[in-house]
Amino acid sequence: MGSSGSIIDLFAWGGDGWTRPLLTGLGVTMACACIGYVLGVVLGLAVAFAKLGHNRWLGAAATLYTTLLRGVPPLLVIFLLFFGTNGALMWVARGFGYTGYIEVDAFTVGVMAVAFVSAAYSSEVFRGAHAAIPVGQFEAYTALGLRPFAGLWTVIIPQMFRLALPGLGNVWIMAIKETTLLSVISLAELMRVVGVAGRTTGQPFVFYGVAALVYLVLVAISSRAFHALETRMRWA
Amino acid sequence: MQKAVKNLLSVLVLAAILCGPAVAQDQAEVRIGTDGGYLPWTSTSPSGELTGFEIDLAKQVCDRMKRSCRFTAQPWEGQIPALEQGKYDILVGGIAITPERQKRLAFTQSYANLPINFAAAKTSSLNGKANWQELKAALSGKTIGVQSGTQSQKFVDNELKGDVTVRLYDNQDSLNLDLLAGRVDAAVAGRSPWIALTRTQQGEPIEILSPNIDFEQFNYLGVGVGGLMRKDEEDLRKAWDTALCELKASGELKGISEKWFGFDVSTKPDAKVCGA
Repeated sequence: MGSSGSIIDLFAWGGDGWTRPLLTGLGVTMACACIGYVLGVVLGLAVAFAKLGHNRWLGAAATLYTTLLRGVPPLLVIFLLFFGTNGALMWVARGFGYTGYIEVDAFTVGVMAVAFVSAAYSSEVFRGAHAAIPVGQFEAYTALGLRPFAGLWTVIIPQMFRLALPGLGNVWIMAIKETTLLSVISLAELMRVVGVAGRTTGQPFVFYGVAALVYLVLVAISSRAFHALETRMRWA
Repeated sequence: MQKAVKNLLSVLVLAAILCGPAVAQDQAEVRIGTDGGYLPWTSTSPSGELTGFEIDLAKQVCDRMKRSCRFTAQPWEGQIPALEQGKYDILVGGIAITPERQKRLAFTQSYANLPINFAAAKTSSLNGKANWQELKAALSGKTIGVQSGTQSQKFVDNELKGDVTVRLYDNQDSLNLDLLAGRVDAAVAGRSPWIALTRTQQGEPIEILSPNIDFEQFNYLGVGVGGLMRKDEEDLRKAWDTALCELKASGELKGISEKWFGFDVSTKPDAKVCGA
């Protein structure tokens, strides 16, 4: 087998080179992380307000959600979502007389998994940010005659984002790393491509080294970006 | 309320159906799951195409069964739940037939088994024995290295205990190093790591000893690898087994084996399935 090729051959474009599949894998990783993270932050904000609100049941449900999603290893969340959603859909479909196999595709499940886990962590970040906003701000919007919803939307939430930003940066980095687990449901993200390439060519260290570098660069760029955002928001 | 639930369910089903091509299952198509990263059994090319011993073999089986087959690569960890849920009809990829797995799932007949071999320095004059008894006599009093938890260790425990000094290793690499350094007189492992070692420049002083340890003679070592299936797929299992019988009889299985392993790993036709 072609394990004798030089490094240049390994990373050739097209043919037997691995650059193209690696870039495709990186694309899948980024798409999954980005979509999942954005959905997760939105959901996380909702969960945070469910916890902060006065409805006891909603609060309990939100607490249960964060406890579960933060307590269960992400790999298990992925397995449960994948086999759970498929199983549930098939169960419902069987009630309608359809007995075949139904699958929610791996990418959708991957995005869902990243979103649910990010939501659990970011809800706690938002709760912390909410607690850090001075009471005066709440009194201020009431004094201005704003209804609670408008007050939250225009006064409180923008300030929460500023305070939550460092924490949200951490959640983003976690989201990137969580995608590496998605290979188990046959999603061909970067780690999966790297693993296959390493074993196929007999050069695992070269490929795992490349992957380590890529993730390192992704995280470095991300922290720079979040840092820049923090600096800008400080004056906003 | 009941109506609302029904509506919700209908929406869910509709959504499931709209979820696309994964739903539409042609009943004639056999869906095969394999790891895709376990050479030489199953591997993936840079263009994403699956290759390997198991892939070539499964394609031949599908031709014989006159069924169309679709391969999907999925890491081993997720394969058995996916099989049980119905994503795949059969899993292939060097899957050992074990009693534990047979309790819950079904196997096709065994089609491959990697023989066990001893290896030693060329200067040791242990090579060239005609049968296991001669080799066993020559090994008496020597130090033997073996990787723990393997079929090879099972073999050493059963056949050589007391006659030799056994040293256990965590992995093949450290076993290789000690064999090269002369800390063990001989070592036991599956045939393919020895082929890999003796092909390298570093492994030049090492040779593979005859004879091959025959699984028929030492049947506690297991019956090899097979295709893993659900128990309710009796028809497909029979068709697959029949095709395997034909491929074994025609020598095509041996050909595929030699292409990927460099030697014959194929097992004899299972008399219970193929007849005498």
